[in-house]
Amino acid sequence: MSMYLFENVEHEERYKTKIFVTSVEHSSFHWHYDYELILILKGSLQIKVGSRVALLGPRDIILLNSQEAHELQRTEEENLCLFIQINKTMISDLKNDSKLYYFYLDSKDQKHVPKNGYKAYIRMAACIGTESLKKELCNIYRVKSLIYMMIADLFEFTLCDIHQKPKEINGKNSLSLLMYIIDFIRGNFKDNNILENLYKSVGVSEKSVYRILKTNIGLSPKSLVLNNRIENAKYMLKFSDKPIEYITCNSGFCSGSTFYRTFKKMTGVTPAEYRERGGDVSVDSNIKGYLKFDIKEALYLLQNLVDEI
Amino acid sequence: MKCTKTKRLAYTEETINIVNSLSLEEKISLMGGNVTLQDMLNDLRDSDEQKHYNYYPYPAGGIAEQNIAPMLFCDGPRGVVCGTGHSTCFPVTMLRGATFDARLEEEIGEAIGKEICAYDGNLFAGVCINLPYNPGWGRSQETYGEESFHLGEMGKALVKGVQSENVIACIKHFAFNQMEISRFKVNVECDKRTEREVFLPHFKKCIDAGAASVMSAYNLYKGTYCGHHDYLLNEVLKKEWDFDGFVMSDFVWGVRDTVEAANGGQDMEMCCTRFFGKKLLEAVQKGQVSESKINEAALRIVRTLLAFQKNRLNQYSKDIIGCKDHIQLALKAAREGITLIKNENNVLPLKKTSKRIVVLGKLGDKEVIGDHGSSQVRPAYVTTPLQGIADAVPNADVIYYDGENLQHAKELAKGADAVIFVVGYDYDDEGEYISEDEVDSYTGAVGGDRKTSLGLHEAEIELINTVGPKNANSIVVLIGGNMIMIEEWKESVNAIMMAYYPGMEGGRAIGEILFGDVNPSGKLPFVIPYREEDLPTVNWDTTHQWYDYYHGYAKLDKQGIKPSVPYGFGLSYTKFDFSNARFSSSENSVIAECIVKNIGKRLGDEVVQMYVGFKNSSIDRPIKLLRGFSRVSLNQGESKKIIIECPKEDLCWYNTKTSQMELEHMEYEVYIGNSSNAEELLSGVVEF
Repeated sequence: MSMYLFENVEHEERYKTKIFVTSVEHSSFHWHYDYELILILKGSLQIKVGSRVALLGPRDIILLNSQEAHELQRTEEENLCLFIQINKTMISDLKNDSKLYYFYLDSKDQKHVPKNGYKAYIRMAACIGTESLKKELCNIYRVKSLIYMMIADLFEFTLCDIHQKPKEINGKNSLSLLMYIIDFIRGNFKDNNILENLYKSVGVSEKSVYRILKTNIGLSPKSLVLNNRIENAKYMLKFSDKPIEYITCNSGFCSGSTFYRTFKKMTGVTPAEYRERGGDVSVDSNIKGYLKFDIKEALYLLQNLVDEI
Repeated sequence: MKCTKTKRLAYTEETINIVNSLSLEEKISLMGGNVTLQDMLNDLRDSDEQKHYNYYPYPAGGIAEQNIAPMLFCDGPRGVVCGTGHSTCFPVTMLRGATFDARLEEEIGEAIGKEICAYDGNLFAGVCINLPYNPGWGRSQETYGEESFHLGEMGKALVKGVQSENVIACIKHFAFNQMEISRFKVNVECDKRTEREVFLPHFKKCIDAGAASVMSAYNLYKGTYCGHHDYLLNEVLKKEWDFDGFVMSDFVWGVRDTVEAANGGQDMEMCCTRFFGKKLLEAVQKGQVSESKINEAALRIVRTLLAFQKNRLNQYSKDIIGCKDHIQLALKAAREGITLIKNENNVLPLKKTSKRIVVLGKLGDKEVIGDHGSSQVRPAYVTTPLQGIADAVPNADVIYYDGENLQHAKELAKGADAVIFVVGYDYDDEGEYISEDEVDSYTGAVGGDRKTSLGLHEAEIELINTVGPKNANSIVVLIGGNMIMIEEWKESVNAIMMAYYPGMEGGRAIGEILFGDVNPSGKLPFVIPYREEDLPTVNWDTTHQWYDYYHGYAKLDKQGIKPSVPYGFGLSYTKFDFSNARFSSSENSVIAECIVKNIGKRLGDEVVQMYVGFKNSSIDRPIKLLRGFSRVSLNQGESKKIIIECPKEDLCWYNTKTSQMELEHMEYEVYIGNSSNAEELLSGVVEF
């Protein structure tokens, strides 16, 4: 469903890591096993990690840890970001899958600064970006080694916690419950009775679900469901020809008026207006041109980082 | 035990016939190891990590034509050193000492014996009973504790267990070997009473129990290398104690002179033949060593191997190595030995409903099974403390941080239901050691004695003192081979637990005890003083060291110095009451009995201890000494009568005028209780 390829990450066979440049619209709370490094090349991006909100600008870098719930949201500005999604098996101890390494890397965070500073990671990410655009065998190996160098630096220089899971994974700690709830909602937001079904399925009380979500991502269950529904609607409005009535039902809304009201409240425009505009925010007439232009700009921005930092 | 001394002696005639049929060269070939130094170094330097010191049983002697099997040496003591990824790795000997469970130690001996059979070995060199004169000894983990009586009882149990499987138990290191860095060069001296009352009795006990082999030590005693020591080996061991088995030298540097060693009672040079072999043949031909010495050595070696070989009917397949039963036994030992030293406000056991547990300290996520010297055992897996804790409380978020950044550690601690510090030592801090004098090393270990401090690393002390007070449920889990000083940080935490090096399932036991699945019952086999200076001083890097008569808890007692934590101390999650103490004596022993009742809320084990006092003595004697112990398991509300007997033999002193161990006839104080703390012991007097 998502055009940003966050959840179902296909990895380059060659280096188990997906590297790409794109501009971000919106991605509501989700998690994945991959470690995701985001480097802002242009503009700004709002990232919610757990209950923390960070506003990242150009040359800011952040690492989203494996299984860490997060939400991305573009701001008024256009943005251009480099994504490096690293397969968990490149980082975790293959012998012992019950360990989850949690690295503190967020250039907006002044409390947990890595011992080698943030610039090192910005530069490394930019190098990985530029190198990944070339496709010779030597480039592939270089990308691999750059990624491993960065992982080594993470282990050596950043603050790192280990979240240890029990050998038998039927324990219900808050991390596993959180992931379960987020997944359930992502998979079932189209149901009218989603929340009731959720409480039954997860085997935990309504109060507990509320508490888990609110503490970890700052949203109530209802809000998270709505986010998912609206995101789905936006996608369908922008990329499909389906009629609005169809989209209403498909997004889990029972009535057209509820859909209309909710959509307007959350996005500022009506569904029809949104479709006309072809998507979010700024009026950019030449969509195709925007994409092509991005790649050249991306290369330029990345190379600058490599040279300057 | 099938292969008792009596049984072995029955093979004397057969052995004499065999030995008489051998040539001089053949007899001498029995007296040396068949591994070359180069072989050993190759094993050690194998980059594959599959090979290592003693990865297969090291052979010595053997004459195929005569059906004399070689001696096949397997090291220990925390399990069988052979193989990689198979052997059961038990908790170290010191933890097993803390169980005060001789029956369990015997079971461990049986398990190890079986694994040795499966490895095709026939000798276990893992009965280490050297007494740590000062707890800084780098190899303390390999012994049971600081009390000779306790060493004797536990060592005896291991000997029995191992030999019940018809594997030879070799006790080591004979004698006066409790300094690591200087072990090749130090000349130890002490007075006669110290020799006979403190450092030798536990060896004698193991010989009396039937141990069939002894390993001589590297160091010198009264000017002579122990590997060449006519007094220790010929006079004491073979003559006085009527030892029927054979002596082997400690490896490579245990024999330094052909003639002195052969005449001094050395039977077998291990593990390479450098001074025996050809050189010994020459010495005999030159008349420097008489052939009768060779004959005696050959007799001892052949008779012992023959007896054990003939009685070995059991075969064990490789499946028994690292089998579930043995691992369960290792877990049981860890559960019984881990010692709870402090538990303020009953913060332990922690609640299973805890939501967030923070584990701090570099050792939390390490495989804390002990040093990397000759006792290194390589099991299939090791459960770390972190994994054990996570398994014990599956509904909580368990977060580990090594503790380097104190701010971050503090933040983590503030948000947690409990903070557990895992601190202490690893194989770089203490363990077996090869001095710089020797060029080639066969263990590759760093180790050494704890010569700078008996306390925790500075960084760990700072971590505990900074972060401990930030959480109402803060616990320190100590990892190490012997006593660790606690004064500098004990007030910063609510609970303290000594986990020693708890073996391959030690992490599991730690988690179980922290969260109440298991009730701790270990007792300290050493005293924890307020100050390091309260213990005897040792110069760790020296060529000469004097041992005083007093050390450990006996020294503190004698000098009227109160310990921080007494010898024999250990807390439980339940409470025990001692009553109806009665003291008496029979013809051969002193008897103490009492009723022990579990007056707490759950099942628990208690270790009842018996001490004997000598204040009426006309000579210089300790205030009191441990002279008996018995572990008992009691359900809530249950009570049992415990009777402990101590042979009067164990109360003797060595009279230098008569050169005999003598029993004083006087009134003795007898105590019974659950630690050496006089204020809590029930006491009485017995006269004979």
